[in-house]
Amino acid sequence: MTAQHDGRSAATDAPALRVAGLTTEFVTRRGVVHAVNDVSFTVGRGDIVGIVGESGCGKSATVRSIMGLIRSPGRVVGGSAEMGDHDLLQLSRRDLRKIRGAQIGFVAQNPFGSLNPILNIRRQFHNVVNSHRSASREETYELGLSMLRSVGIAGPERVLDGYAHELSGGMAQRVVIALALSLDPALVIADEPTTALDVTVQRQILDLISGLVKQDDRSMLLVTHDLGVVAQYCDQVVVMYAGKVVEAGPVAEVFTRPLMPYTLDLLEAIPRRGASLRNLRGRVPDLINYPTGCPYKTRCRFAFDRCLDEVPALRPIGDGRAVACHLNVHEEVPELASIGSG
Amino acid sequence: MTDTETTATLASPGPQIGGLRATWDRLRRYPGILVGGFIIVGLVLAGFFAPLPYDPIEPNVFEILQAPSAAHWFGTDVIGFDIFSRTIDAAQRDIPLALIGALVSLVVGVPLGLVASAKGKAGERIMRALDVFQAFPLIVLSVALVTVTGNELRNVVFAILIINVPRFMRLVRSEALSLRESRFMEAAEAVGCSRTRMMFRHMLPNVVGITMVQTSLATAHALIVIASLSFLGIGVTPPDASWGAMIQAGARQMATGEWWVVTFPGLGVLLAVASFNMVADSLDAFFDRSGR
Amino acid sequence: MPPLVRVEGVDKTFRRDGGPPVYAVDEVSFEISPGETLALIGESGSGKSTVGRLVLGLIDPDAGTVEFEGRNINGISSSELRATRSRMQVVFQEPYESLNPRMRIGAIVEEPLVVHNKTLSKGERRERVLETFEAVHLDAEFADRFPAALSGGQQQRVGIARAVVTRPSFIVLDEPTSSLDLSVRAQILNLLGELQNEFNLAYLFISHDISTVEYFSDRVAVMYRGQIVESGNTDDVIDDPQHPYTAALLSAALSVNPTEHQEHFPLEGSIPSNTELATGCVLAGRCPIEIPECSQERVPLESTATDRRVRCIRVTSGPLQARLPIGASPGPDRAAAESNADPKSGEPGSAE
Repeated sequence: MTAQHDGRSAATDAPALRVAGLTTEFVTRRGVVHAVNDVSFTVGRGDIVGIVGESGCGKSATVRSIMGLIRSPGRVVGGSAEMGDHDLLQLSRRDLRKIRGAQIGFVAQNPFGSLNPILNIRRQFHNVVNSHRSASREETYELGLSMLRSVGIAGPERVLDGYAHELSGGMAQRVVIALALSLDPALVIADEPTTALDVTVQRQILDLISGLVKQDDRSMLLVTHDLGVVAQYCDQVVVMYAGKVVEAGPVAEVFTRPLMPYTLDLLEAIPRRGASLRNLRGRVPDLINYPTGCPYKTRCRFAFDRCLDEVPALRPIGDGRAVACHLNVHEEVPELASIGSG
Repeated sequence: MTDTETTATLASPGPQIGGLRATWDRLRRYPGILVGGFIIVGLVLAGFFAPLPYDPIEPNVFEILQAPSAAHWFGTDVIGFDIFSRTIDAAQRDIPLALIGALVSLVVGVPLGLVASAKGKAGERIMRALDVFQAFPLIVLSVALVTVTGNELRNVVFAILIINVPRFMRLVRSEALSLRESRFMEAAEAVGCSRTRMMFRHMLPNVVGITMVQTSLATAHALIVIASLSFLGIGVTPPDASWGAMIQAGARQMATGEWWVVTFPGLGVLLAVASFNMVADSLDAFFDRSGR
Repeated sequence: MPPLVRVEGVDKTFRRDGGPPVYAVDEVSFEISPGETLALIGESGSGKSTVGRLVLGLIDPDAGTVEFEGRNINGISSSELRATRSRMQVVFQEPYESLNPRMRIGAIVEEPLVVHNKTLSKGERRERVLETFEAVHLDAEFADRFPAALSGGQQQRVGIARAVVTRPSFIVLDEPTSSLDLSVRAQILNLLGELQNEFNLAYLFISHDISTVEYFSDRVAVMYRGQIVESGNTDDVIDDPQHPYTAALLSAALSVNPTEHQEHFPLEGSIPSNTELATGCVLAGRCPIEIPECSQERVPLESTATDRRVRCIRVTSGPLQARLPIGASPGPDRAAAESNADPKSGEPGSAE
């Protein structure tokens, strides 16, 4: 698209993002909420990594921590998020701002929350570019045109001179994606980018963003609650539960042969014709009085005495997979195989 | 397939609400209600029961315009009244009067507001009439009214009504209009509730919080109205003490340096108004969070 | 067996002062038999929730009739309509918003009994409430709490308890699981299934989620811009969609099986505003198999098989009566237009 990514390809084969031991807490009147607990994962160059889990599992808090968007009463208490030579968690607010936009593009759930309602789109392109380097109005206008074309907008001149409220939800999200990619970031972080959109628009937007990411050899961290989105668009998946990573690995493996009972339960909780629906018992544990042992123990069909008080560590088991579970993962659990054929 | 475990493991951490004891526990988290209420009740009771150093309506002509001292804590005024005694004494007249005015405004304004929130022409007409009415400077209107109908205490209440009823109406109406669109009102209709039931069982409890807040604010405002009216010589008449009348009388001495005549009744108004506002503020938070 | 609910040719346009009319529901007809689940599926703005309100008599149709248990509910007095509500109930999407925040859970569930079963004593009502709590797997201790103290799933159980406490024969489920998490959604769907068996309930299940509809409903009606564009047995419609909109909607659903790739059957552009009235087919302008005749006159909903109806002239008449090109590669003239969803081609396509 542009000549800018020369600088990037000159880099080594290091992953686009390496998060290790990330821990984030929120202090509330009731106590400390352990929202993100020792979360580690890697986003490989050119990979699309999905973080999936139910509400309150810490997936959003995780990306907000990485982006430096955690505000009081929240605080990142430990870990690192390495991008190239930088640890994003150690950077000053000013240095972080330089990296956001230039090296990380962000796409949020609600496109209208990301667009400034009182500036026209052209001006917003200008501002985004000029927050990182100085560029003339003509230059940013041309960039805006080409970016809007690349996200499939037919009349980019008209859109550039218009305002956010004139756009439909799908169009607005296209504009947000164009803005996020306008500085040619190596990593795109998308937080539920299609949750606010209609089903028929959702697929267009996902096709678009995943295509743009793959085409320019970018990496993407995609946060979603929708297992279908992960299955169809991600290379790698990180399954989160109660602020912890409980399973991670290539989507094709994890979704067809889940090893952590929670992953299995989630996949079976999706309604399918003729199949009975897995009734997940209970609900997520209290993140203030964080349970001892495995956080999933009260809901797990396979829980045994070891699960009650020993925290299962996230351990690699080969094939790029990792799982936090005391079950002997090499022994096939009979039900696990049935998922792929459904 | 059952999942009775669902509820068994749920022991929700939410507050268990119910009973006097629980209400008290919740109230304690909003000290403004208690502190403000305590000051107000204290002021009124002091006027009734506290042994005042001097008779508030018996001037001592030999001690006029005395500065605050051990004998006269707040000093004396131009007639020789003891200002401390009169400031305390005025509370038992001004505060109940203001409260009555605010409560009558509430009783009149809330149903009118609910009626005005009804769909159709009637509600619109009521609101247009209110617009015209409120276009007059209401304090002037009240003064005119009091002058025409005579200088009686009930006319002071009436003046408070003129000013506060429209406020209650607008508040309740706008609140009711937004509640009408809410899902639980629709659910109540779908359950088969009658209009009356929907209004009293579902709508009213949800406007109670905001009207309580408005009542405290209206009382604070009524105190100022009473003070303004008695400043103009309307309402509470001498020799009965009223903060407004005392301020008016004292205003003349400001120029000659006898500051205490106007200051202490002024502080009385300030304290009472601040207390009512404090109560209003805490009530707002209290109702906003109760049931949550 | 006569249908429990019969909706015939219902129209609804919302007219507000100063704004353009909103065409919400256009000639909608369907029937629901006792114990049956009819799903109404569509995207936001398709008019599916308005249909739910029309069926409940919460709003009146401009034209057409809604019959419940053989009686036209639009002609009857408001007190008769209220009485009907003991046998016709609703569960809303937003569990918290649909519960009065100042009423205790027990009182919320009890209220329909207070309103409808006036002969019951206080003790009898209490007993019925507790029975219903048990039926929806809700602990009795919740009776004294306020809605805010409950989780989303528990709040929805309260909504369901309120709906079934008077033992109705029919419930409108307006996206009852859309705002819930996956695991909670499964619990609620299972519960609704249990209750249906226990009380022989008929459901009108309003949803935008294909997998839920596929799992949960017997028959389905697909709505787009206020019209039912296709209806039939759920399995038949999902296996063999005949209307292009149905095909697009189904192809937009993402399988959780990473090895299974559903061919995308995209529509051009985006849903037009519902302040505009279509002259011909509601999908004209977006449809990949459109012909000039499509935008000329209203398209009727016609039977193509037993209990199968479609509103598309390409399917129901003429020599082009053919299966939709799902899975087949689109013609060369279409390829460029559709590339807006396919950035790899690098071509600027027509936007939504």
